[in-house]
Amino acid sequence: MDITRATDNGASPQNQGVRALFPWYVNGTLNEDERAVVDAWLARHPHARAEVDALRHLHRAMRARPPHRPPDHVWARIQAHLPTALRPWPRWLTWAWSALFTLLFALFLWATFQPGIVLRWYVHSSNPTQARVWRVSEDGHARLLASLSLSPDWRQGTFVDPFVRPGRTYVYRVEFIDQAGHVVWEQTVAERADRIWGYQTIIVVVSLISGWIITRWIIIWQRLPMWPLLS
Amino acid sequence: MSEEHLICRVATGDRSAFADLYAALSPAVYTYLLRLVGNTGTAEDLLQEVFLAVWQEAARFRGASSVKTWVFRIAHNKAVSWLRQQRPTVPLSPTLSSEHDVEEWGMSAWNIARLGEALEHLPPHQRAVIELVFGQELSYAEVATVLGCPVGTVKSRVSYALRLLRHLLRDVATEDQR
Repeated sequence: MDITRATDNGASPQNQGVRALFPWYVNGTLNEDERAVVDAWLARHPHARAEVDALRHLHRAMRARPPHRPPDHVWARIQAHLPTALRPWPRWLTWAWSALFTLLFALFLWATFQPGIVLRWYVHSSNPTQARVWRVSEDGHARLLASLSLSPDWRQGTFVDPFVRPGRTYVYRVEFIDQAGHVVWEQTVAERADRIWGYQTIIVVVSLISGWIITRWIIIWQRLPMWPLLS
Repeated sequence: MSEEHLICRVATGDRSAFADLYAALSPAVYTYLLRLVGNTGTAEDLLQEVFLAVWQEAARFRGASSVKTWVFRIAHNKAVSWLRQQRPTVPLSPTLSSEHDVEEWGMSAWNIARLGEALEHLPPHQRAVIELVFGQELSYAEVATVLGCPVGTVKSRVSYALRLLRHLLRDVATEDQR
């Protein structure tokens, strides 16, 4: 705040800034620097002291007005409502619930729509007790993805590999093992992950939107004036 | 015990701390509400709402402002919401003249009855800033927090409210002389 220009008549923007501080100069809440600025300004503009004096009168008159004490029954009413006044959750808990909901919803959608490479097979002969699903990399290295125990009357099965990159081709080998541990049948299949990306994106986006909606819902629900309904 | 300490205890569900906080702040808040809305029944209802909100929201108090400022902000928002729902009943808008007509402040007009009458004729948002600055002695930063607006806006509102109050006081004094 520039108060070095003492030649003006008090109407410059700088002086307007000092004048704007008068109410707080009077109520005593200015810091030392601001107070010194106003004091210095008033020393150079004595005509403005009348304005400050008037504000002091206003301040005294305002403070002289008797404060109102709330009737006792207000406190009694507040106390009566306290047991039913719902305390909102901490913000982190709201977000934690929303994150959990989003995750569970995403898992539900993922499990329902299975946005990955789906392997389905039927067994018409022999009696395998176990199925092993391998993913074979380009260098021929096979990684076991799943080892499934099969019931005696089992005839068909499904396996979903959701951890695939869109656009890439994956080679799978499915082995069926009998009770003696021999491979009774196996099949190798190559599958391209073409439309996976779209499905996965849709599931993630839908889950995030649902999580956001549930967050908003929790926040709005906490702000509802429910205590009159519960009392 | 400081208000900050009390609000921390209120956040944990301590009812005795809540009672202490109510005892400390309710007269000022009630006075503010009463002067803003103009009738005791509404002021009492709003005071109840304010302190139930304090009870509920205490855990969210972050200490960015003082507890008093925070409670006044809640009170102000509730009063403004209530006032918005009411029909405007206070006819007002005297024509304002020059900005610094200091002599027009009329020292003899400064008595409590006239002041109260003049304040009642101020629009609520003008009355609010006058009450907060001169009645509650809040700093401009605290007033800005209560009103939820920039400090510059607070200063201009106070300036405008003072000019308006000055005119109203002059009108009240003129009526008294008749």
